[in-house]
Amino acid sequence: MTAAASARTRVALAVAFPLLLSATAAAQQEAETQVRHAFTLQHQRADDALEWMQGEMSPHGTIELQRATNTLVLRDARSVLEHLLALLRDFDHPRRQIELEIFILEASRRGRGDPRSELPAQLTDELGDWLAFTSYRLLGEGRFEAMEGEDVRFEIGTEFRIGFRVGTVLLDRRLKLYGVEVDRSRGDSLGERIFNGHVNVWVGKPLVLAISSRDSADSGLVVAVTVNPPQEDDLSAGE
Amino acid sequence: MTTACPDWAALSREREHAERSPEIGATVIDRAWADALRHREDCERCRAVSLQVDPLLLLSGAFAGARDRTATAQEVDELRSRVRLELDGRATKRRLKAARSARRRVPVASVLAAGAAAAAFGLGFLLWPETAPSPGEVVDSELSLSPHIAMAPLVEPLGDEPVGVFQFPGNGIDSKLDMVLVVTEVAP
Repeated sequence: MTAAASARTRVALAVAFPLLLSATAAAQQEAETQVRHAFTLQHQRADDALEWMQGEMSPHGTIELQRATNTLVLRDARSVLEHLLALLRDFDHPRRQIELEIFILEASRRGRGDPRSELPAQLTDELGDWLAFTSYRLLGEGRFEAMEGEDVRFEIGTEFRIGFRVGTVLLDRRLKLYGVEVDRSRGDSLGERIFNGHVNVWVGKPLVLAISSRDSADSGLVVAVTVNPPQEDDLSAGE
Repeated sequence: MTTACPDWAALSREREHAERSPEIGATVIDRAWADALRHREDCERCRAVSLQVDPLLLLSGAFAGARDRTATAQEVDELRSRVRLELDGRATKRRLKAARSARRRVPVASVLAAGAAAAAFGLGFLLWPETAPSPGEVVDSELSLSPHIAMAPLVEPLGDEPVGVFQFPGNGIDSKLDMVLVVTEVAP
């Protein structure tokens, strides 16, 4: 190694070592400045909030659910924690009433029907663009009111029963309906479950489930759910 | 058809440029564009190429060439799928941008922390544990739906899994409705 090369190496080491030290210190500092905060929810379910908060935390953050006291214990960097607490305060609003509109249609590729007289224009304008069915027949419809957090079960038409737990409206925009079960009874037979799952809706926008069998693509069932914005006047239930 | 087929890509670029800078030969560009549109009316090849360059050209100009209704319907379908993909792409970009800006906090904090830590290494031990910000300290910032909530699946099946759950690509914040196709083993 020449003297010049050796000098360059020494200079490189002299520069790199403090940088390495700084980076290590920064990482340690970041880990050490984590703060802890316990937030007890007054109105909404902590386990629902947990699902939302998990995605908001930094990679070093931790979150603990204390179900008995409806509390979340958050531990994260201070700046992240401030954001989390702001979200939690919005999430834990007093339970509000929402309005649901549900339509159930039978869809078919045989024949042509005009569902416009029976369905909202917003649906009929769009269904034809998305689905290959040519006719729709209304089997049932209903407008219902429910509170955030409430377990509900509705009869729709003569054949359908739909049940779920209403989640919490996030920032006035998204709402999760937990464990949506749609059962259909034909004649004297017991109800047959045709759908079971969580459903995430955008408030004010219809969510359309087009359910069809793998073996019979010529017909199907369309379940359209619209959640209308919470009513600000009904804030009493969770108080 | 006697005139030569124009270079639609170049023409479209020039026109776009002229729209941004109206003082640069806009009249010449407009004339060339009008000529090209006239040429396209009789040229099947140019019709296809021009739509590749700008799908919205389907909505402008008259097609005098021989075409049947099937071809038109096919064009509309292709156009629709391209627009949907484009909208979906834009929505995804928006969400990714939001996600990036949300995550940008951490590297910036790290850089700032590196400087501070280099100056006061070891002091952190004395400061820890800090207290959480009091509710009064928490500023009501502009809250927005994070990407993981905005992009949460519309349907999460439970119990007996359906054969398939397909969320249509055009779904998103800007669409009028959300559509999910659920394929089951038995007829609903």
